[in-house]
Amino acid sequence: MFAPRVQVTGLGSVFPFGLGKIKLRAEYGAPGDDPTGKPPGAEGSSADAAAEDPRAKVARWLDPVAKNAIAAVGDAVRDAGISDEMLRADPFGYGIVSGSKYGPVTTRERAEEALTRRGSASATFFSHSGYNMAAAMAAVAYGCRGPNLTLSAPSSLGAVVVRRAVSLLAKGRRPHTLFTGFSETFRPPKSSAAAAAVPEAAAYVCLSNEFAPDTGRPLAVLEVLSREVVSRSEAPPATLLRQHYSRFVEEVGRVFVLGGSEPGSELHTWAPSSGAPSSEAPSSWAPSSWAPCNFDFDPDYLFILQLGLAASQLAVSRHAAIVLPQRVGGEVVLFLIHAGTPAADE
Amino acid sequence: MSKAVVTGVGCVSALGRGVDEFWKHLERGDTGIRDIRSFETRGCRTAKAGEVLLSDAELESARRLGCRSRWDWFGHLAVSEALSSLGFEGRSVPWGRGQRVGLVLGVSLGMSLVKESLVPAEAPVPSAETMYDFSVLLDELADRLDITGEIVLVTTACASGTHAIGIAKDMIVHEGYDSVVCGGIDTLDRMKYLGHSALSTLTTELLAPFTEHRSGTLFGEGAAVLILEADATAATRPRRFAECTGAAYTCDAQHVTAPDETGAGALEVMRAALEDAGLEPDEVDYINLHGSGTVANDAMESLAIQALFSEAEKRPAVSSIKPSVGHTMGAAGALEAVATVLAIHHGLVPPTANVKSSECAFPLDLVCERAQARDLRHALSTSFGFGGSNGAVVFSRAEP
Repeated sequence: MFAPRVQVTGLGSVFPFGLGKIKLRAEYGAPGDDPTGKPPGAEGSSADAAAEDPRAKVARWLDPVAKNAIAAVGDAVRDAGISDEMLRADPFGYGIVSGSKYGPVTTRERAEEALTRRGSASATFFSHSGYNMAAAMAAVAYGCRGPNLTLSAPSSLGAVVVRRAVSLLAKGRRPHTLFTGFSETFRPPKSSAAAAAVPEAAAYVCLSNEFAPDTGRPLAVLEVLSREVVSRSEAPPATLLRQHYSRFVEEVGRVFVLGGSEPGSELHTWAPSSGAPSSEAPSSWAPSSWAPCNFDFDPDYLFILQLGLAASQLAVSRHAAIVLPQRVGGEVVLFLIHAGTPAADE
Repeated sequence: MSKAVVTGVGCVSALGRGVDEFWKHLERGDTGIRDIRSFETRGCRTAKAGEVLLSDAELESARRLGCRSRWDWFGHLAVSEALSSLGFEGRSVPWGRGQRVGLVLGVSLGMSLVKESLVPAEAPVPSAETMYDFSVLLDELADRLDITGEIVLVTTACASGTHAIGIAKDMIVHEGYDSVVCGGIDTLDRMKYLGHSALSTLTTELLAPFTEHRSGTLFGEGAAVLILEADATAATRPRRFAECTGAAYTCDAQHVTAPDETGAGALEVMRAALEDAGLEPDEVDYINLHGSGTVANDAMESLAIQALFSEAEKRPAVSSIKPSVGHTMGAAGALEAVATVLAIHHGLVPPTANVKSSECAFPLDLVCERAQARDLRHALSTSFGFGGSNGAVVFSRAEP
């Protein structure tokens, strides 16, 4: 069964409280913090944060999701240790796989307003209304000429986006590096009766295969476990882990299962002999503080942050692994993040 | 690794309903582009498009089925025909419990700019919460088809259909899927035509790609669906139309609307798709071109093809079906893929409508005026879209 593995080499993010994972982690380290909100007493928006990146200032009318994508991908580029020279030397090696539910809502509404007001369309707003504009403009900013995909899905979009990226990387020499994540407004269209708005934000992880230039900055290895259709009564993570990865657990020691894609899920440890995850929570890990956080936004987005932060954590704690189980349609997909070797040994 | 065999196809376009009608008109070099009837064209650069006209009886059928939009209805028509070619009618589906089945469809802007309905809106009218979230419609389609695996909507402008097929092929070949329903669906409306009028991408003349006098494109709408299946599953089906053997994706990373005029992105995507298929350029017998008819795109595409085949001993036949169906945006790559599959299946290259052989302004073996019988073993289908999206898929003759 196909079980590809790639390296996670960086995380980039833009939230209202700033550009970059260091700010992100500092802001939401304490249980109960809301990472989507502004820091106490501070004003600002994701657009202000994105503007810290000079490449995100390319045009004042550029949609916030495009500006944020430029800034967050740039942050991931830097975090992964990828230089401008490396990007220029092999532009088709680098690509972007982005998820989007709503696309550039702000620009689309401007396009509609222009039409209503003038009776004719605005070429600028119309051409920037496409769902793929965030990924496309980030590609322009960094010269990434590899795959540039924008995807949507009815559920578990974060898992779908990462799985597609990993699949592309498993194909061979190019692309060897994919910036994978979201830039999303989370602001429902004006006309929508959907839930309350939350700020624009973007997060991308940098995923690479064995053909990527060595930057000396691998954080961790990501494996996508074989997916199988399971019944709802099964305990999918335990079942699949027991089926495929007892040798893996022997190698890395403890496996921490961050349960499900729902906010507030508990973190479990698991060992093959126990048969199922126990509720023993690790004490000193940053991920233990994720559960109580109030992630009051699309959980798909949370998945990218979990993945990036888990990889960052494992870059320090080398003798463990984190599992992020996701349900994609009727399938269970396990994303295993560990400090092993990137080459597949199935 | 399994092969990805095309076992079912279905489509709807300005040339009519169904694959047989589509191929019959393509083969003759007919065009379905005519005066727009379903929305007002005041302020538009042209009043011609490749529309799919729905009769009152058809609208009634769509409503009875619960389709809320043209997107939904076109998808239903194409999927139903594809399933029918596998021998399944009505609500029965050709997969059972335990089989891994996915759904990957492409759309460009879809209904995102106007209230979607079965009749295109006159002006942009904001709709309810599903207005911008295409994946809701995709979920409904997946429910109807009893698909329990991965469901993906690809939105990469006019390369969406090609990218969707490429992803589906990878799911079969590399990820152990048994069957993946894939393709593209897109619809026309007044807002899109005004937008493209503002961008001056529309011609006021005939859509005549690769001629000296080409002056832009004309849009169309429709849907095309292919069912790709792993070898073992395909062996149980009545027909094997072709195999999808290669797929690739690149980006120009230069401009929102203009292609890279050097053709480097297009060249790389074709080269990578052939590499994925394990083929050399010499082995390509036919290319179904993007061939949109814009001045910049055709020049770029021609440069890329010349570079790809610069050292090849033979040049492939090439043609564009856009003069027949219009540029169907997110559905374009899928309709062109179906045309490519049928070309291989029938051993016949469809002609580029509206263009005489003597009018081709580029050093290409552009098939015009009448279909040409060729021994087609391997063929490429390419798509290029806004945002610099490039896609290519390779189809090969199915082994018995």
